Amino acid sequence: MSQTLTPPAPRAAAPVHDDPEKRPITQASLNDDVLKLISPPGKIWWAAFIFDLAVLAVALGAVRNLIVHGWGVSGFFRPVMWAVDITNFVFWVGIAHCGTLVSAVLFLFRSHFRRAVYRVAEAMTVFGVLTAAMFPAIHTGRPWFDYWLFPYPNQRGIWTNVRSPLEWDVFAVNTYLTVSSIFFLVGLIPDVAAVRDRAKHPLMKFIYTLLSFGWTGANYQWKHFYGAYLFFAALATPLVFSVHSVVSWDFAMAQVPGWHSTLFAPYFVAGAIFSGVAMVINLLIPIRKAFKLEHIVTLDHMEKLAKLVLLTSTMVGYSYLTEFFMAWFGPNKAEADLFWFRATGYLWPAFWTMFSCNVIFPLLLWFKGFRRNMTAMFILCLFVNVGMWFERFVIIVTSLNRAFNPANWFHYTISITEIALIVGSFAWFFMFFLVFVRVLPAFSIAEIKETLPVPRRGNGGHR
Amino acid sequence: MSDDQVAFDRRDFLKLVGIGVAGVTAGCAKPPAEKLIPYLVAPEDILPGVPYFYASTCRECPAGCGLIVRTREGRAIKLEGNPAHPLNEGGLCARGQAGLQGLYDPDRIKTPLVKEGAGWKAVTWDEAVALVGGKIAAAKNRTTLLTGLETGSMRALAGELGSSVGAKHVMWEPFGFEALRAANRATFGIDAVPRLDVGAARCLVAFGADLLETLLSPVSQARGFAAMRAQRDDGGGHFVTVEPRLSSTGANADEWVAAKSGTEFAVALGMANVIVNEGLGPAAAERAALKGALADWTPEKVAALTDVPAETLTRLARLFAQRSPSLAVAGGIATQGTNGTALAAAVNVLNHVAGNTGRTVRFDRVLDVSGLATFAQFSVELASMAAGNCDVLLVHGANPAYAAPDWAPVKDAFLKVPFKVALSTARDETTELCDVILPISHPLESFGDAWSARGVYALQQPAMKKLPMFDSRSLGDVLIAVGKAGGGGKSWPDSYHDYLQGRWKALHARFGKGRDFETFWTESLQAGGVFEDVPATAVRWTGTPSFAASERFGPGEYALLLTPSNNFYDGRGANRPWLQELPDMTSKTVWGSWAEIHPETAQKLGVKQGEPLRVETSAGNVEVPAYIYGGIRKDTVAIALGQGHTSYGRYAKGRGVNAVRLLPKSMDEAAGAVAYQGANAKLSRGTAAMELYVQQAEKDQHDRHIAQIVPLAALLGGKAAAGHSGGGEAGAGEEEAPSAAHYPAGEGVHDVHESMTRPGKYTEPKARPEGWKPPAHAITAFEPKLKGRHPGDDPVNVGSYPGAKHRWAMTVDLNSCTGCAACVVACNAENNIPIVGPDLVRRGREMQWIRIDRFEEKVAPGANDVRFVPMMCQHCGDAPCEMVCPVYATYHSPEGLNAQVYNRCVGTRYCSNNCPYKVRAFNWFDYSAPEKTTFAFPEPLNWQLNPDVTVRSKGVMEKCTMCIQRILEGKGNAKDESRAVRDGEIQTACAQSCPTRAITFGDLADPESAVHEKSFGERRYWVFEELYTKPGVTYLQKVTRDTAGGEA
Amino acid sequence: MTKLLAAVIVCITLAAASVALSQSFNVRLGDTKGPVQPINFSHKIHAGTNQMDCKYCHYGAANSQWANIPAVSTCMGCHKFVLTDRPEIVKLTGYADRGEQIPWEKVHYLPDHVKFNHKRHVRAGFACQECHGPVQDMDRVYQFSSLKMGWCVGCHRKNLTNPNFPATMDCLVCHH
Repeated sequence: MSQTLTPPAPRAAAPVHDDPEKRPITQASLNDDVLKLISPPGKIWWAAFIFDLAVLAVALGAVRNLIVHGWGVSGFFRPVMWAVDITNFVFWVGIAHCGTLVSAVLFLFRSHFRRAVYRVAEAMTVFGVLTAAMFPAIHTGRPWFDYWLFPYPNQRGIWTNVRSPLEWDVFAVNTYLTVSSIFFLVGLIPDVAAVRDRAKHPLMKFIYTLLSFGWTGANYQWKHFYGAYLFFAALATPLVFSVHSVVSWDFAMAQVPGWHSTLFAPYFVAGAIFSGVAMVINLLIPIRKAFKLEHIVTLDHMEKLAKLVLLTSTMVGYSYLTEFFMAWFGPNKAEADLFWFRATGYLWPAFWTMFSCNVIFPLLLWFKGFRRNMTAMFILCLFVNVGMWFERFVIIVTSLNRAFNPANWFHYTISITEIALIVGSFAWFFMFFLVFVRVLPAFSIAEIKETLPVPRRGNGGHR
Repeated sequence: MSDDQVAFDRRDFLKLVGIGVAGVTAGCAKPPAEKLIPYLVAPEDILPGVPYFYASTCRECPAGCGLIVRTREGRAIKLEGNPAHPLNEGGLCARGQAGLQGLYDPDRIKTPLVKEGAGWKAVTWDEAVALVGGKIAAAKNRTTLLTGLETGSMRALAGELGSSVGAKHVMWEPFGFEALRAANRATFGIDAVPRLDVGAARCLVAFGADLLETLLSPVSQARGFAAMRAQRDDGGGHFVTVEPRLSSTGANADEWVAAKSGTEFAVALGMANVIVNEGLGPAAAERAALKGALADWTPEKVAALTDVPAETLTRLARLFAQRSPSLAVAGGIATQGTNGTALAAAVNVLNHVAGNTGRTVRFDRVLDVSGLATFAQFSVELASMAAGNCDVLLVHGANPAYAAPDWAPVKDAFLKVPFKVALSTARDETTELCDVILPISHPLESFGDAWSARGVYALQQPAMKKLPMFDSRSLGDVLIAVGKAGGGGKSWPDSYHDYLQGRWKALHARFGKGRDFETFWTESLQAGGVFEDVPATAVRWTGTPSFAASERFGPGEYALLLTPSNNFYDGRGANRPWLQELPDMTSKTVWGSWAEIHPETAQKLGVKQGEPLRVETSAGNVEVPAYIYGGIRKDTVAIALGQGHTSYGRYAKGRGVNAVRLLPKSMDEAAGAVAYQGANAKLSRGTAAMELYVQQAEKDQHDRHIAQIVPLAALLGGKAAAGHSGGGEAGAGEEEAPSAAHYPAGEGVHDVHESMTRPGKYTEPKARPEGWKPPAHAITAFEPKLKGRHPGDDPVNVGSYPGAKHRWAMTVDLNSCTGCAACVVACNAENNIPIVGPDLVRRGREMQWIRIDRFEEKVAPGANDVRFVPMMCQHCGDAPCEMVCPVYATYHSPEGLNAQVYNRCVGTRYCSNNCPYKVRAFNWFDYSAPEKTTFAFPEPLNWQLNPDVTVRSKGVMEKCTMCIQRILEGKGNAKDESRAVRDGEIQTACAQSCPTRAITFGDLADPESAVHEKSFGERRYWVFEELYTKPGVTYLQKVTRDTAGGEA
Repeated sequence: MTKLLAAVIVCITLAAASVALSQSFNVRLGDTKGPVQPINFSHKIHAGTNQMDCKYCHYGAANSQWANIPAVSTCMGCHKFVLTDRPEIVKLTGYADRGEQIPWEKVHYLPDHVKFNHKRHVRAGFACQECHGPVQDMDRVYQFSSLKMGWCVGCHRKNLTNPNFPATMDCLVCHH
């Protein structure tokens, strides 16, 4: 297993099979299949990339306005002091969650279907956190003082307020970013080594060399590699639950009706995994199609992800209903008013979009045929992500909009700036992702190979 | 300091560039290249950085309240009421305080101007004076001097001007109290308006009288009103309002009697009829005569005419007679209609038969409005001008081109008079019509006096040097100058200051008490004037006029009601941004006009809130946004006056509509007054696109118990104390929560869930060492009604901040609060609060630190329940905002304040999200940067900024600080005299300005303090107390009187 | 490879540390020359050699939150008679005669969101020199103390238990 590192001589292409799902995988063809992604991109890629940058530029213009003129250019007001900014933050943190779940948790549970998909999921995690982290940074009134949120020795002798959930966020998100990046890079080592050995351009070779940390595939390296990987998996697993719980406490710790609820932590974690898995599916389906990898990421893999979506969807739906039940059952009039307003107030479209996308549509996943229909799955997962964005929007905006004092209840209207922020966050995310699929192995060669028959001399495997 | 020259220097400016004025909370900014410019000649008794106070007189309305002008570095930065002044006793209304912005109006006239073709040419004062003087001389007795109400020396000077150069002095006010004076002439034979002793009345019936807004002397009446409402004997202080539209004054009433527009007088007569026939009230000589006059005003007939049920009339009449002394007040728009005089006379009758004349209706310290021309007389003058009998017209303090209806021959007169001179501070509509404009100094920049009421000889002194950017002169000096140039005034001294002193020599003779004149003069300046107690003129009944109802006229099925505005009076306040952004107390709208219509009317017309409504009379039509208001009759439409200026500066021009244009030709003949009421109007859906700028959209409090009431009966039963009895320790009534008395009918507490009262370690009080006392900052009056899961003594009470002595706290008595919003303007002035303009206010981005939340429990004829809640930072003991700020920009101060450090604020806005009261204001834009379009303090408005308060910059949160700068100042003064801070020595701006003393500020740690007594006294409650925020602001419930079942 | 990694890590640590340090030190403004003033006024001569009390000219210091800059008339009080022929005094007289204020250059800069009260500190018995340095030895005045918050807080912390005038650590005292 430790000697597939010399570049193979040119040879006949792998036997063509009429069903892409059934194409055979050999030790060598796997390398070719995966590493063929890492090649000078074509027109389509460039078109996508440039379009992406253009959108991003617009969003940056909006951010510039926010900083130069102040947040007044947004649609915010008292009492709705947060809306799209924090909505995006929570949404992307949620997206980021799935990666660690798929790679770390499923790794610990030894569920093998993850092997094919976890690399994409992990990349998504890292880029998701990078996107999410932007919003707390720019949503402040004076972003140039954001560094005050970090506890560092300063001449003023002021520390940060550790009672504030926002402060917890600072630590939670940074921890998560660090760990998930390390986990991502460690997992990459053997595969990057393979890329390194094929790389032509000296600069690229140098970079890959750095990233592969001098990997030679020696036996002791494999030993340490799996040791380290297991260690980081164990380290990352609690984060899956802790980080989004902390994020949820931004709301649960405040006493705003609709926020102040012990349900929030599990509710948010489930929602995060829900949206995250949906996003993975949205990313995988085009990739496996475009690069003809159906035999590596098979329908079975996709179906297992689909089942995960179904599970988390029911958990989210349960949370929604619990919230309404508690509002109806509990003594808090303000909360009861609020939930009535959520479903029937002027923001009802947001609420019902959320409810149908997250609870009703996913019911289709009970049907095997639906789960195995990639087009349908793709569309459904798009809906799920829309729904999950609206979930955060509903939680934040409606709750603030109907807080305790009726004297300043006004109507919230979204502004161009905020729309630019939403679109921009996607552009920012895909900028990373587009580069990723072209420069790093998007699928774990090493781990998939573990599932292949051990190559024996003369059977066309290794020569 | 009598010599003007010296007065000059001691009011000289410290030209220390930009101390405080340009101050912004930019983090670690680079030091700008700054120069220190010291005094040239050091004034002997002025220190930079120390506030100095000057007594003066307010000239914003005829009342003429006493002022204390707070100055810093020679700049007047705040106006406060003069406690020594008999009229306002320390309070000052919103309009009065905003007078400061007339001084610092960025659109003030800079130099004398002479009209040249379409434009204006700047000239020097000498040229201007010579020009005007020449014209006057040439005019030979064909000169007219038109002013608003002037009293004291200025009236005398104008008179002498008349005699020496033959100038005729005409004083005209849009609201000249003509009807009141006519009625008093008819019934008492006195041409005067009475002083209303509201405080002594045990039952007050207001017939359309806005006695808390613009009538006569609103501040003193508000003070009296509070005293009346504080009466505790059963049924004392009952307040009924009779008007077609529930005004801001009426909103405070226990009962609203919605009589048809213009028929209020019949209600008064009907009540009088009942009183006479039932033999209630004292047996006076005139009863017989009156009985005859009242004979045919039986309740039934009146009911038919006024749409007020007969039994209501009878009930009110009995109430009114029994609760003697009572008081009926006519005024406001009701006396400005076709039946105005009838109403005023009818009210005199009512008061007389109830025996109130001379008791609550007193003719002692009456406002001096005698010299005012009625509108009829004024029209005669205009007509004669239009006929060409006038060559020179001098105008000051009157704006007929705006305030007089179209059918008054103002335009013709001005077109005809060949030479018109405006003596004015700001460019208004009338000024635009003139040929020469002479920039007049603001009253705060000039000497003068106002003998506004009998026995009140108030002085007005310059609180500061004239603003250098405006080449202005005081009115007196100008009149003297042009008079002399016109060949008259030989006997006059050259400066009005000397003329004034000459006049005051006479007063010195009367009140000198042996002091030499200099001493007398100086002491009078310091005291704000000389005030004497005057005996009430005894009045006898001289005759009962005959009453006849005159019908409404004109096409249309709706009664048109034009009301004077609480914010702008007759429109003269419209160029003050503070007043423009001060939400109207009825509609809570800003920066524009609106028309109030009843919901059913709106439905019939298919008009929704804020949609254009077309109001049409025979005289013209306007389109205004509709405001749907339950407190108005279905057959009535009301528009507030004061907006719709076509000139008058950037803040007034082009805002809303001037509804005076709607008035068809009609007058109250008996009084010779314009009939603002009595015309019919057609209503239809408008077409123009327009915006209604609402500051508070939701007027229902969704039983959140924000504004609470307690019935007087419950209070007398002593039950109200239950649940919140006695001192700090839990009272006996503590257990039976919720106490029915504390939450009377319709005031049920949130349901008590078992989990909230479950006993356990959380509800057990912590064990404390013997004699343990909480640290100062944790002292609180807060007593949870429900023994909650939060213990009374939690970590915040323990340990931190040793050595703090005070716990600053506040009480707000909703029973005294009339919603006049004087506190809001006071706060604006004290704390450098930016004006953000209509669009941002509409979007919920106003910056005011204190606002008056208006909650309408019931606005329909019958028992009335509108509640005003001044809402500012509650300075919670356990503040939700503090725990969520990641950088400690907001934290709990050693003295219990909830502090906000602007320069530490990063702007996450989390604190505002977590604040249940929503009293934190965020700087959405940069209001402090001159280069930005959102700059709120264009020169010279920035001269008003308080140097002790940082001007906040973009992206930071701000809120009420309980005037920390005043607290520090007070503590400093105490330290200097090495003594403890006295109770009441430190006053927040809102508490100081409140005309009714509804707000009390003080040290809760001092058991002797007034705030301590109130915080632990009866009626106390806390907004959202179920959240256990332990507010430092304690509210006192509004006391409601039983209306014996007013018909609903 | 490991070397390179180590290098990277060291660099990052150093960068972080330097940021922290630069923040945590009260860097005294290096320049001890101070700005050139329109009139070459020497505190050394007045406060040093002639032993004049600071509060003779800056009389505001003990009675106001601001120590005032003396007016031209204050200078002329003496210099109408004293050393009237010296070139600098001639300049001064020039200002007085022209009725012009002297545009002194500002030496001590405090941001506008900081409210420092001279009166309180002077009356608490602090000598001017404690903050302004040995002005009596300065020919041309320069900013002696950093006037940074850490500097203020340091002194306040020292005097928390000062028997006659206990200092406070409450932010509101300076920031409002």
